[in-house]
Amino acid sequence: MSKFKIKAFFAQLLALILAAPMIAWAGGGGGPFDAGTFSAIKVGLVVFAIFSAWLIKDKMGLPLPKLIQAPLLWIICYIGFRVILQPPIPFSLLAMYMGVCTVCIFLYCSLTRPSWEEFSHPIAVMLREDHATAKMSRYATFLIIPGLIAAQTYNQMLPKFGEPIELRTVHPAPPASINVHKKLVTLQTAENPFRIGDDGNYLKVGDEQKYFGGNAWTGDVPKFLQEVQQGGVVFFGTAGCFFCHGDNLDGKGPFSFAFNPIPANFADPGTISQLQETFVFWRVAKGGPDLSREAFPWASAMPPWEKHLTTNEIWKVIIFEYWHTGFFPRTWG
Amino acid sequence: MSDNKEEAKVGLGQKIVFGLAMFVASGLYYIVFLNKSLMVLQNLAYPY
Amino acid sequence: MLNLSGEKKKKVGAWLLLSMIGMLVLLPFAPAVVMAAEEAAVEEAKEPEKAKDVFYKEEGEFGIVSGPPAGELVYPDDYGSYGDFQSRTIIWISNQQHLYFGSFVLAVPMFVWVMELIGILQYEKNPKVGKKFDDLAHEMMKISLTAYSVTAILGGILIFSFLALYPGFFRYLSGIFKPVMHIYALLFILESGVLYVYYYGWDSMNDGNGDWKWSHLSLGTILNAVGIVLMVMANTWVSFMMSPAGVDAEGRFLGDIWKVMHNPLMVPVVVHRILGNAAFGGGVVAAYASFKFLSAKTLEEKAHYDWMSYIAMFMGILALIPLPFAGYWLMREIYAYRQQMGITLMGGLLAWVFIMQATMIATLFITVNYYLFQAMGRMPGSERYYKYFKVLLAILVVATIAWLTPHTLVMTPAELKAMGGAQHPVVGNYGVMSAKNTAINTMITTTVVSFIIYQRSNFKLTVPWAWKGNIFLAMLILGAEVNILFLGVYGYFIPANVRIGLSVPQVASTLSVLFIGVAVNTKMLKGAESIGEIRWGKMSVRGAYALFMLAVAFTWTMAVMGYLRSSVRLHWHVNEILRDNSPWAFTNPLGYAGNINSLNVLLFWTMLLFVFWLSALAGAGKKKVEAEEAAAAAVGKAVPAGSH
Repeated sequence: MSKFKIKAFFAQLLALILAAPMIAWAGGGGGPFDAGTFSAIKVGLVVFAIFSAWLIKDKMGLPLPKLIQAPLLWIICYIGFRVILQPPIPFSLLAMYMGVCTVCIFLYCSLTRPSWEEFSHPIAVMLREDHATAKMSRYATFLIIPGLIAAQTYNQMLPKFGEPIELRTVHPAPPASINVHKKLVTLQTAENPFRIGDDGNYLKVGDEQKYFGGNAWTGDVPKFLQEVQQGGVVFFGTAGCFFCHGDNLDGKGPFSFAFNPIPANFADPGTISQLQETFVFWRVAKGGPDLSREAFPWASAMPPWEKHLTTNEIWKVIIFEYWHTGFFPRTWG
Repeated sequence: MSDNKEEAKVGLGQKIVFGLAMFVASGLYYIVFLNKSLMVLQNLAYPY
Repeated sequence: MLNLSGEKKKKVGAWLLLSMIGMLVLLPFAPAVVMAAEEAAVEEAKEPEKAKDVFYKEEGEFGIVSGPPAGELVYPDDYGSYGDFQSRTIIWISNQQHLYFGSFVLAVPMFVWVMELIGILQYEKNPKVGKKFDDLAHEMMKISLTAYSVTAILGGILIFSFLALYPGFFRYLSGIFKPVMHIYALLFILESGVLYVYYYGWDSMNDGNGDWKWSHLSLGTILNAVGIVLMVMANTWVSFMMSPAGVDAEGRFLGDIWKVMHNPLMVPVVVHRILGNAAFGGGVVAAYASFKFLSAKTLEEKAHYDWMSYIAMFMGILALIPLPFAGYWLMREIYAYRQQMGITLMGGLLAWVFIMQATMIATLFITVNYYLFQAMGRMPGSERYYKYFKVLLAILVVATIAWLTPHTLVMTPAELKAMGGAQHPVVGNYGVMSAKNTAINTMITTTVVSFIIYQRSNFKLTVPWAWKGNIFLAMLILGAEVNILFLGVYGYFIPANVRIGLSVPQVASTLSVLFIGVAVNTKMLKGAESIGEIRWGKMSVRGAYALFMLAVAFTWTMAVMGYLRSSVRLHWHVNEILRDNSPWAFTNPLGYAGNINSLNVLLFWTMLLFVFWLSALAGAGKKKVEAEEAAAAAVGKAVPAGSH
């Protein structure tokens, strides 16, 4: 066996070794790793795959024609977004990603004059030449492309019974002020009364970081953590927020999938950390019924908690939510 | 990046040393100087 | 007797012309003087009633009531309609078309001015290059001239649409802005006068870089100044509708027109609009040049338009780079004016429109890079860099994917359950601001790298410190990218107000690469050995199509963002003062808005292609005449040389 063949063989073996854990993880959704590590490993794998492709193509001299490369890349992208990326992303996002990939693969093929010629020459031959191979591939092409379009049309026309998509505004503009327990709360200026530091003064947003990560439930804790503790009691006891919003505040409580839309996930960087504390107060106090029309007030199972909790309990549970997730409320200072 | 003749005379070690120095310098410029000064100008905290 | 030699005559003529224009400049202030006299008369007549301004606090909080209240508009009395057709869509389309052509005729003289200046300055060193730039400027002006009359026609259509469909609203607005509107109209006389002298005097005033030429350039300065004043005036009406000032809560005019014009959003909108116009103008001229490039028959013509499209694209990009920062400032001012308006735009009802804009911006940057890659096809020696193109493209793809990932996904309930929550654990992280800033800065940095490669692609470096320079550049770019990524990740762990502050050093990193990188690169190219001249006209057709794509993306972005800026008022004609009580006060669904925007873009390009075709027609006629003359001259020179 020549040296070159050995190299090629090893490259393929490498690719197989690479593919096996990918497929295994794709089904298992992460295995022993948390989401962050898992995605880092995946990024590493993709980089490694690109590196091996470069080795095979440029260093070992096994080039693939552009016309093969293009659909291959497309399929790899599709597998990446459809199978490797877990949990599965919705179709709208997949379509967006694949749209970007399709355009960019075309751009890749036409980047320079040589590569464009390499890409377009076989197509020109297929369309123009009169020998048997060109003819056969011409017929095949003119069957496959309309066939694909037909399949797509059929798929589109097929009646579907799933629930329709709702384009709901998740963070609608809040009112200027609300009335809770006969007291006017101006959302632009109101402050959380339990955001208190060791010295008894108001704790600036960001300064509470020193309390993050500790245990609020051991005997002697600072004032701030005492409030957190009481907020936790509301979350897990008085109000039972965890039934929907989950033990880890990630919106995956035991009831969560009974609702549409599902409860908010506070652990996501795009929810409470993007909002002012008063916005959260408005949502907790007034619940679904007080949402503006653009946010479909009838399509939310969030109860108006002002009917069950005191104002102080609402503020405390908000402190708890921020503390537990390690996020800071939005401020405009 | 370019295949010019002058480059051939420069040894690899010299290049690596210069590259490392430049890497550290750019790190200092961006992460220490640029970030810090611009955050301080905005009256915002920046720990590095 | 005075003996005016040729040179002196020219000087006197130039001064006379300038002073005449100076007098014309004063003309529009005549109605203002009349207005002031009228107001003074009114003031004396009766005891003035004072009312509180809706915006100004402390100083100037109270003003004398000088107009009727806005009142309640009633449908159908205060509105006109054409059957069931949405009146607002008619206004929308006529407004957008007028704005497109208006921006075009405002932006082109800016370029022409710069090109003419370069031409004059180059004339001394190299008259040939100077003339090349001068011809380019002249040709651009020719397109602008046809577009100018189209703008006026569209302006007329817009006014008639307002009078026919929204008489109540127009009555209120013109009641407040009547002096400004008259000055606006009178300024148009000046604008047209200067424009015609500027265009038709081009050849007769062209004496290389002499006094006439400089006076011609100062005509261009006046043309631009008047154009910008016109734009600012029209802009105050629009920003008044968004953020009224100078009126009381009932909408009564408080006597000071400057306060009305200088409303809270006026300045940021003006700055954003001027930059946007410049970028758009560059894009459209580039599209014109690519159109001519594609249809050119001779290599000489191809070379000329290849060069022209490159210059225009370059000017457009120069204006595009500061544009996001102006937009950022405008957004901040909107938040400061009304937080609700800001949330409606960024997180609420209209947030999806921003995804459309994001798509367009990604398209812009990918297209610019792609164009640069194609343009390197005409540079001998660029083959050395072909292998880097795909890496740059790959970086752009990754950044685009992060840039486009929305925070709120469109999905069916079944998909939602499969995903296990409203946010995806991996790509969900790309939905927030930190990731977006990182992505866009990466894209701009990549574009700068492409440009650096473009600059050096047909040169061989000869400076002895070239290896140091290369390493320095590599580390500068690498460091910037590392810093951009680092700040992006760091943004997830800190409070929101600090996170927003991080965008400043992120942008500064990008700008460092832009300024230091390009400067060092230019320095390295000093005395570099040329591998070969740029083969203008040898660019692939794909490059020309890319420029067309760029221009269309500009216009689409303008349509989308204009719709956004206008519809953020929701059901108000004038925010919180005059309510829209017509049946069309609702916010249209996204699909409808997208369709109307696309229709607007299509309409504009159809009309523009007509304008391009017209200018080609004139050129073709001239060429025919020249060809016949040449043929006649060739026939034994028997024909006497008529007027020549």
